[in-house]
Amino acid sequence: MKVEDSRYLNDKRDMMKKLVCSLGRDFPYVSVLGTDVRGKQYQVMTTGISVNDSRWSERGFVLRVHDGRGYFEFSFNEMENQSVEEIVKYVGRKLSAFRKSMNENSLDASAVPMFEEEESKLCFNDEVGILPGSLSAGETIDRLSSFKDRAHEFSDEVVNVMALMENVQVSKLFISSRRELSQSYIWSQGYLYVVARRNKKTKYSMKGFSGLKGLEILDEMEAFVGKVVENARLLLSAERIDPGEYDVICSPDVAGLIAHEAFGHGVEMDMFVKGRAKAVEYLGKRVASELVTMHDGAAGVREVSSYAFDDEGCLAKDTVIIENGILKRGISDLISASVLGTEPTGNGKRESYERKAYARMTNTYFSPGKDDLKDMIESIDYGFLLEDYYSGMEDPKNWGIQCVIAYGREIKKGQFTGRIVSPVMMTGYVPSLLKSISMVSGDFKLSGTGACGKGHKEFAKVSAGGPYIKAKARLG
Amino acid sequence: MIETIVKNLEANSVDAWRIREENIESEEYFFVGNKVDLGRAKKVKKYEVTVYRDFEEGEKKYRGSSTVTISPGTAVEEIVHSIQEAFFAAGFVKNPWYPMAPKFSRRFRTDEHYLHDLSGDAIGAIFDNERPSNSWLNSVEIFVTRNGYRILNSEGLDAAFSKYRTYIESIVSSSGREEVELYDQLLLALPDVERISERISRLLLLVGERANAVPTPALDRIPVVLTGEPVREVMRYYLKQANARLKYDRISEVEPGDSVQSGESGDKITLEVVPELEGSYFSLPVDNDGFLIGKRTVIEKGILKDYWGDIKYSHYLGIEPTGAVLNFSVGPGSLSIDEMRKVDHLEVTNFSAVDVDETTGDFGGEIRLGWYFDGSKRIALSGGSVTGNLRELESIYLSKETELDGDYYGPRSISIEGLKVSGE
Repeated sequence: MKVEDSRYLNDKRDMMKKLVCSLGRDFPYVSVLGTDVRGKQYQVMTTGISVNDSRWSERGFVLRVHDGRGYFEFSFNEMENQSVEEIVKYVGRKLSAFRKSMNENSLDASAVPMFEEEESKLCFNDEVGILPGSLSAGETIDRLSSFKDRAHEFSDEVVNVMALMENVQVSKLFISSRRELSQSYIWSQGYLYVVARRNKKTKYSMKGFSGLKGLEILDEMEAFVGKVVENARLLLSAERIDPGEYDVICSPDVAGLIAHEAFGHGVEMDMFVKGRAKAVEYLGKRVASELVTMHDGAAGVREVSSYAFDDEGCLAKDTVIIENGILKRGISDLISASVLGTEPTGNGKRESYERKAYARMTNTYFSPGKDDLKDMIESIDYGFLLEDYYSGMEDPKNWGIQCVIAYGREIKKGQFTGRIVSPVMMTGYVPSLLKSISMVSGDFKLSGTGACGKGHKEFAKVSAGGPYIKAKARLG
Repeated sequence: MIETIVKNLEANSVDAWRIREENIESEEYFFVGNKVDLGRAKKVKKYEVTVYRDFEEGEKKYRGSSTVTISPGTAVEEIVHSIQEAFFAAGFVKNPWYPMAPKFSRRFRTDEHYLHDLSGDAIGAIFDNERPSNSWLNSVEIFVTRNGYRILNSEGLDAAFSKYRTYIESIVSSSGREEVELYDQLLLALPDVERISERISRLLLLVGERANAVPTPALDRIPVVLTGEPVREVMRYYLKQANARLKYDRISEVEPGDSVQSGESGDKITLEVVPELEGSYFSLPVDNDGFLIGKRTVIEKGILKDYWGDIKYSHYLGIEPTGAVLNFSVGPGSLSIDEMRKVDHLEVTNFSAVDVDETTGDFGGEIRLGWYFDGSKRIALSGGSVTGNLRELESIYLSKETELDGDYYGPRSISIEGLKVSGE
C-alpha cells in the first residue's frame, strides 16, 4: 500500500520556495530541507505498558547557505508567511556573528568550495504491506501482550519480557534553486527482550526486527517468541571465555556489526578531511581477503536506511567500498565531497532537522559468497559460532575494533559441544580480522534495529548484515 | 500555543494532563584543526503533551497515559486529533494508578548570558592552550545552547526554568611510533574556561602517551586500576541498582538492607543522588514531571539504604520520590592513587567504549590507552580488552582523590581484582 505525502510539508512548499528565493538575493547557494517524521512506539512489558510518539518524531526545517567562503546552517520549526522575512534577517545576523567570532579569536574559516547542483526533480512514495493505521492502539497492545504472555508460559525462569513495536513515517522535502525533491516512506522495528534468572544469576536475550515495512512486522516477531526465551535460558548456563585467538564463524548480524564498525565508520569521508581515517593510506590496496566485497548504499537494498535522497538533497547510490579485498572508495556527505573534490555518494544524514549532516552509513553489508554454513562449521577444529550482539565501537584512525557479542557456541572437531560462552568481547586490528576471512556463506540478511552514533552522539538509522563469515578473532 | 493545547485537553475531558514546553537556541562551531568548516545556529520550540486516562477493574485503579509531541504551526484540527488519539490509546495502557506532581508555581531564576559571549569563551579556552610539540587538536565541535523549560499539569503545577549547556567534542592526535588519536566529550553548564583548558591540556598529554604505546600483552588476572570516565560508568552501575524503575522492572534484585556489592574485599561504596553539582549541566530544580528534585543517600557502606526515583515508580514501590535526579556522588575510598600504583597493575584511562550492563553486571572495553606497571617500569599500552562481571569481583578499592566529571562527583580512580585482561 502506498505511503502518502506529508500534508504539512506540502502546505509549506510555497513558503520554502519563497525563503530560498529571498535568501538567494544575498547568497550564491541556498537550500531548505523540511522534515515531517511521525511515528508511534508501543511497548508491553511484564511490569507495564506504554504508547507514545516515536522518539524519531520531528517536524521542522534546516536552511543552508553558502556565502562564497563556506556553508552556514540554521535549524528552526516556525514558518508562517509573515515569518519568512524574519528568518532571512535572523540568518543574516547569525552569520555575521559567526564570522565576527572567528575574527575575535584570530581563527580562520576554511574555504569550503560550493557544490554545483545539477537540476533535479523527484517525487517518491514508497509502499508497505500493511499501513500502521490499520490496527487500533488496543489491537496492537493486545498483539504485543500475547507475545509477552507466551514468553512467560515457556518458563518460570522468565522474570521480565518486553515486546516493542515502532512504526515511523518519514517525509522529507528538499528545495533549492535547482532541486525539488520529495519522499515519503515507512520503516518499522520491533524488539523481543526476555530477562531470565536462575540462582541469582540474571541474563537476557534480545531479538530485533526491522525493515521498510508496516504492521507485517508483528507476524515476524510472533514467530520468534519461543526462540528468544530459549536463548535467555541458554545464557543462564553460559561461561566466560578464556581470552585468546580463535577460529570463529560470525552470524550475519555479527558480520554486519564488523562491516559497520570496521570499514563503515573507517571510510566516512569527513574523517578523510580531518586526517582521522587510516583508510586514506589504503585506497586501491588490499585490506581484506579476496572473498570480501562490502557495500554501503541507500539505493542497493531495502532496509531502514533506504531512501531516494539524503538530507543534503543528493540522490541515493550504492557504493562498493571493498571489492574482492581491495579498498575502493569511501562514502561522503556534501561538504567532505566538496573539500575533497569527489562526487557525493548520498550519505549526508542528520539525526534530525536540528542537527548537522555528517557522512553516515546507510545499509552496510558484505556480499554473499558460495560456502555452505554446514561446511563452515565442519571446517573448525576448535572455535565458536558468534551470534547476536550488544554494542560496537570503532577506531578509524588506528583500525581497532570493539564488538560486544551476546554469546558464542563452542565448536570442537566440526561439531557443536553444547557449551555456551557469554558475553564475548571481540577486539583486534581490522585488516588482520578481514584478511583472515576464509569462508563466506551464500546467506544474506540485513538488520536495522537500534541506532548508530557518530562518536558518542548524532544517532541515525542504519542497517548492516551480510552472510556468515569464517575468520580468526581475538576474543575476551 | 499552550492555551490552545490546554483548551483542547479540557474540551476533550481528559482525566489529567501534563505539558512540557522547551525553547532551544544554540550556536554551533565545527572545527577541523583551527579552521571552522561549518557554523550553525538553531531556534526551536517544542511541546510534549501527556494525556492520562483513569479507569478501574474490580477494586484496582489504573492510570494509562500517552505522550505526543506537537510543533509550533500545527493546525488546531491536528492538535485535537492528536489529543483524542492519545486519550483513546491511554485507555489500553493498563498501569497501576500513581499521582501527578503536586501543585506549585515558580519561575526559577537563571543569570542570562549572550550565546555569542559563551561560545567565544569556549573557543578561546580551547585554542589558547599551550601544546606539547608532538600532540595537536585534530578537530573540535562546540555546541553552546540555552534551553528554556516550562512544565504545567492539570493539578495546577506551573514551573519554569532555563539552563545553559556547553558540549565540547574534541579529537586530539599525536605522532610517535604511529599517528594516533583520543576522543573526548566534555559537558558543562557554562563554559568554565579553566576546566576546559585543563581538560584539553590533559588530553594532549595523554594522546602523546598513546603515540608511544605498545600492544597490550596477555596479562590475564592482575589488579586493574580504572581512572576517569570508566570509574564514573562503574559507579553508575551501583546507582542504577538503587533505581526505583529498575527495581520495579525486576532488573535490580537488591532490597533495602542488602549489599549492592558482592562480598568482595576492599572499600564499601556510599552513594547519594544530588540535585546540584557545581558546573553540571545535569543540575535541575525539577524533573520532567515538574517534581522538585531532592537529595538522598541511597547506598551507605555498600548497603542499599533506600531507592531513588521519579514519582511514578516511587509510588509503585511505596517510597518517597526524589524526582528523576541526574547527578550522583560517591564517597572517597581508603587508598591514594599513588598507593594503587605501587603494586604490579594495569591502569586504563581510555576505552573505545565502556560497556557496563545494568542487568547482568558484565563489564568490558577495548583499551585505547593504559599503562602496565611491572614493579619497576610503567609502560604505555593500547589494544586488547578488559572484561569481567561487577558481581564477581575479588576486591574493589576507591581512591581518596575525588573529581567532578559531568553528572558524577567521586573517586578519581578505582582498583579492581577479578577482571580479565586480553592481549597479544
